[in-house]
Amino acid sequence: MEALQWFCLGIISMLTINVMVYTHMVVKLKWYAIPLLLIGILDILFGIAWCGSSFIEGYAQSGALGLSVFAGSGLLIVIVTWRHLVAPGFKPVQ
Amino acid sequence: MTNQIENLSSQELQDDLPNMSRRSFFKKTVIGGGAAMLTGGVALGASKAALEGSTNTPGIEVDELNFKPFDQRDLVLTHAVSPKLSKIDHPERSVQYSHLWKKDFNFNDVIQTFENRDHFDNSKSGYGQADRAIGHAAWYPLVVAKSRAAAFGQPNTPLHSWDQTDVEAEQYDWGSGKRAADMIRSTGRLFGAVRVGIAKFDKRFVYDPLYDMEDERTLSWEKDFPFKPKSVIVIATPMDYDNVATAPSWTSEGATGNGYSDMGKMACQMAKFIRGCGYHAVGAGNDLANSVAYAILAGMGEGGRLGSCIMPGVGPRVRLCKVFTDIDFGDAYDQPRTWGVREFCKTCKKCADSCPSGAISQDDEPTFEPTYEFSDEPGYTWNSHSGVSKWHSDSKRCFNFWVDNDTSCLNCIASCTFNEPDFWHHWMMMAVNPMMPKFLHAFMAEAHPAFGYGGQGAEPIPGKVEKFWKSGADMRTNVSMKNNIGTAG
Repeated sequence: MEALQWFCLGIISMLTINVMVYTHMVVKLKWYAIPLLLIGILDILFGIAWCGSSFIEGYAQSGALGLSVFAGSGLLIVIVTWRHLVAPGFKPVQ
Repeated sequence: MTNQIENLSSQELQDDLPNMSRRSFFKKTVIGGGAAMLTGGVALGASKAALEGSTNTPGIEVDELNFKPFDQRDLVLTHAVSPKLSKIDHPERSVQYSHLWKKDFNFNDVIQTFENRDHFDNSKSGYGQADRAIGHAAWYPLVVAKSRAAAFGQPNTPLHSWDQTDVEAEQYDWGSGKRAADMIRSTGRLFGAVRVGIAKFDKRFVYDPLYDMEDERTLSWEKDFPFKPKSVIVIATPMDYDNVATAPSWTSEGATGNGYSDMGKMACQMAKFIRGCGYHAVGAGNDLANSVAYAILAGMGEGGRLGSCIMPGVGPRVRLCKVFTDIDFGDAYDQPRTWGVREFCKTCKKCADSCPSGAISQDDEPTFEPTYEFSDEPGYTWNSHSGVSKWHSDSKRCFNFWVDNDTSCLNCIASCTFNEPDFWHHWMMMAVNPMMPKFLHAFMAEAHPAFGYGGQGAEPIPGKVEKFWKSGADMRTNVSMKNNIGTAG
């Protein structure tokens, strides 16, 4: 089960890298936007990994709280960074 | 701005994108993936290095002026089991305890019926017939082997025999101290150990004199012990996470008794292996020496507030046995190590908070002398090892709760912040712990019960008792490979 979890996380991580690279090529990001996005995404992945592991070990409370605390804070960082630093980089409609 | 982006049609967005070749995209993705793998590898390597622990620690600090080896007759369990010690030599100890704590209490009387009173209550979670039976069953191998007294400190029981007549005449050539240590650790692993450490024999931390409760006489290391030991192999046997979590119920006696039975088996097997290789060896449970001190000397963990050796990965959720031998491991002996556990204990105090008897110290810093209640009363601290820097627990009160509860108690172990299932995210917290600032220790200690771990109180948590009794539901196929230390891999 744990090996399966790591496999799934690997796929999610690779897809995330693809999205990051795509975004980076499409939008001219400010230098501090990249680490912020990375921190947020890593936080989300950590929350997912924590949650999955906690459910496998039989501690649902830890899984739920881990998802809320870690993935939640990561999501917040990504949303705020996206709205204020990434989205303005898209060329608006003329 | 966001609305403008949302209003873009896919064709407009497509037109708006830079001319991005597949080759460029693939190249950058590979670079990104490589960087991620490199970062992960570095993090993994750093975590593994951190989990090895730092040797920058004195291990056990002693006050040389006031320190002397501990007299086994002052062990609470030895004192309680021996009628001579508790009723003839030191009846004043029971009298003083009864007087100070205002109760009718005699150490020897109360142990006669310990765990043998027929008063289960199937309507009370953790105190039913099955909860009683699992404890008795867990201890049964030791009872059959007539070696249960080793848990109270009795030396030379059948499983931990001092008999050396089966030592092979020819001594096996290990090749080197390192190879000898590797072979000993591998043998320990085969027999079921979760940790095997090797320390030099240190006369300071053996019981001296030893005490034979059956013959009611003291034993000398020089005159009675069958050989001159050079090394002590410390073996840790695991306790099941889910069972320990039922503390202080009778159910949790399953983990305790099973741990002791494993101790008897493993120490007996390891000693026999060494004698078969032509060296002297005697196994030991709680007898002969302070197991926690030797585990610290063997670099297996740190002495925590609760008095146990807290090890990375399993915390205090282990039982310790030892094998005394005359093998010389040369430069392959383990050294004391630190993982920041002792620093963490200064802030955490979860074990002390959850102790039903109040026996565990609430002091911030460890001390060389006991500071618990009534420790200034003459003779009251007879059970404490003065001159050692630690959090001195009043083990008399701990024992008193065992008797009242009619089973031993694992609350301190269950509630310890380092007691967690064997899973990567707990290992990671252990790896980063030494780098954590002190204010985060308090946060981590509070987060532990908030996340559903620990949280023990005076009564067992019914949900955890039920969880244990369901923990084997999938054992026919056991696809999660859940084992008896709480690992699901």
